[in-house]
Amino acid sequence: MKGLIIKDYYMVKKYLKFYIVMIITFSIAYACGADSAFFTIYPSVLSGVLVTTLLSYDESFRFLEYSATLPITKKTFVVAKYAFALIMVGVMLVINTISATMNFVISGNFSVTAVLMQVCLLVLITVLGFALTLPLTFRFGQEKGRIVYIMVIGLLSGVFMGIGYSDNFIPQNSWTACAMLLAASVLIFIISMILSIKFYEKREL
Amino acid sequence: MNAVTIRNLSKTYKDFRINNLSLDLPKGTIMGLVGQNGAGKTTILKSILNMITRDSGSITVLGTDNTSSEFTSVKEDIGIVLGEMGIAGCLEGKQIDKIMKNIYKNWDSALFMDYFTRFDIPFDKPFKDLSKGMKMKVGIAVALSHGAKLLILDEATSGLDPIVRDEILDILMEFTRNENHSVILSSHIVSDLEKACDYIAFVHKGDILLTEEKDVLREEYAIVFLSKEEFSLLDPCVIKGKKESSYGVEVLMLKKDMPEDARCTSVSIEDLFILMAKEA
Repeated sequence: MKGLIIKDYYMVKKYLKFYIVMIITFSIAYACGADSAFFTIYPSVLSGVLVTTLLSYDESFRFLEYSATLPITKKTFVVAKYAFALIMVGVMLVINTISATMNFVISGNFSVTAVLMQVCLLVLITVLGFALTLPLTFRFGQEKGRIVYIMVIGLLSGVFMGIGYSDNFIPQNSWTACAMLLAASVLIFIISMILSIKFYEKREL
Repeated sequence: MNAVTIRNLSKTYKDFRINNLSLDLPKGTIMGLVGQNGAGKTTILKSILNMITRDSGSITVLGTDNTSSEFTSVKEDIGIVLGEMGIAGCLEGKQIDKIMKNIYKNWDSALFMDYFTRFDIPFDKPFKDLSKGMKMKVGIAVALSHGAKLLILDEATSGLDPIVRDEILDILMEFTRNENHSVILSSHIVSDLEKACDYIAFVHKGDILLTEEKDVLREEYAIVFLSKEEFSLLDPCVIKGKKESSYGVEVLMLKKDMPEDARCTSVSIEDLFILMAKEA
């Protein structure tokens, strides 16, 4: 599994630099006080779909076929992809914590719970970014997966932009809501991974 | 003992099927699957690796049922080269080495680097910037750097120039000097198979027309030149293939079935395949 994660790292470094630049740029803009839900949410959406894009690259290089010849099971292949996704969640957790803290300090709204709430919400967004698209890409391949990918980006952007413009975007004092967001993220992650394993094990390469 | 044993393999697609196919690859030998594009060679190789779900039949690879959970670890002993490689274009030799080191338990980095030197492949050049022949050699280097006992090559020589093809065939022949090493390769370039293989299997429309030792094929078959009248007197059962022209008929048949005093010539594997495929 480690070999697959290393491969994904090399591919992100080479092919998905643009995603990284966009994530960093938007996060810096948000950290510097940009007052838009777009700057808050978009880096997390991008980090989520980056994982699905990696899978599309695997398919276009015929690595899915090649991986089936290696001493790894289809389950291991899927788990490695989700492990990489988890690394992305961790990276975004750090980035979002820093940018949210800075943004709230600059705007004079800083509180630990506000930052925590925001970060938990963004964890969910990152997870949704790949959890909705990966199972379908594993099942149907990149062509049909791409349609879902576009729909998910549109849906997530629309929904969260809408939420972002409402006054209740960041509930200030809700540890329970925070725990629920994290629990939802974990649950969605696990369900998505189980579905991906089941779909991929049935797929002929 | 066989490196690969296929029994009664059946697989149906929308417009193609493999029906009740059986095949043995003895250890220490090279077997060539020859057939037209779409004949079923890749399906057979994918079935050996259990990459596709079969309708029926059984396949044993290096003594293990390839549908069993143990087969994943058996793949440690199998080296595979796919015609269309599965290596990402951005990866350089040292990166491929690092990835494979973390996939294969018996990965030998020094041996991998030796192959790069021997094949004259630049170690720091991205895979996408290598020529087709070089890419194939990278695939072979990967396949040979983890102590494989069985090599499976799917159209590994297609589209390569004759010199590179010759080098690859030499590597395969060197590999099978160890009697525990076996190779199965598919190609529609019959001359390659004729040079390297001990056994030839003719694949045609999802069926195996014939599997035999290459030398036996050459010894036992002949092309006989007959007039149309002589041809009409032949028992149809002895005709394995034929090619008619205004001068007469060239008939492929076993030497033991040849009419007395008939004019004949030895047969190449390519002639054998073409005439058999036309007759089938």
